[in-house]
Amino acid sequence: MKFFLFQIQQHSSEMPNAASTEKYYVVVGVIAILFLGIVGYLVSMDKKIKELEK
Amino acid sequence: MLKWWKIAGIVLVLYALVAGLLLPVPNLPILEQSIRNLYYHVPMWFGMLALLLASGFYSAKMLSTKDFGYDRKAVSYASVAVLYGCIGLATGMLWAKNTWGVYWTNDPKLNSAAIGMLMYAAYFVLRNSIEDEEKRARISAVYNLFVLPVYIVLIYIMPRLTASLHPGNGGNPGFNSYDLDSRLRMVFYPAVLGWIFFGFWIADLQIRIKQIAFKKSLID
Repeated sequence: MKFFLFQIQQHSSEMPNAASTEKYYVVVGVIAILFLGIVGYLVSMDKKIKELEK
Repeated sequence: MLKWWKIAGIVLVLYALVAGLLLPVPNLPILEQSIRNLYYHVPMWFGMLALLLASGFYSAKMLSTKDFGYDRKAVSYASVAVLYGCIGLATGMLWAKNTWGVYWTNDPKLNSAAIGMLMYAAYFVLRNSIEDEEKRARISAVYNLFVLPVYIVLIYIMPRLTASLHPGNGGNPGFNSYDLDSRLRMVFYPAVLGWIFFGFWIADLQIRIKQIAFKKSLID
């Protein structure tokens, strides 16, 4: 995360204002949670299939 | 324990999702911040092509070996490819609305993509219309092998020969020619690779479920 913050600070002229940047983090957080939820579902399905295959 | 390519898929896609929104991008006219869609829209089409090539490969293997296990693989890869195509169309339409002002235009690339998707939709209709398993496997494999080169011509060759709004087609430059600072590539290449691995993982799960169902049907 520090790396991303550094990158954003370096190129602040190309990024929207601070309020929008905060919203960015909310969007990123929601997307990451949704994706990790899908991954969790796929991993559990992978395990169940492995058990059935045995 | 998951295989290395599945873990790589998770890590790369998560990186692309997070970095795609947070890392800086070149400030190009018209595109502006919407250029970030490059990390979500384009990898879908690369992923779709990789999955369709795998589907075609297993269709050819099915025809040469008469092993119907390959048919299950071919249809699973094709179904995930169509899912990727749908996401690719949706992300493309949102991008078009923000840059061209409309969700859909009469552009050769867009129309070809729609025709390509319909051809693969017909593949599933064809499969579901044949009850005999052997006949279904053989006919759908032949159709799949017929559709694959047509799809490649429609999506990757034909739009380059005519005038097109779409970047990289009809004399329009692709992103490579005006993005020389490699900032986009830092996220774009991992995104392409990640989504390909992720698609193969979903297809792998589908194939294994079908194989278990097939073995169960033999026992019953």
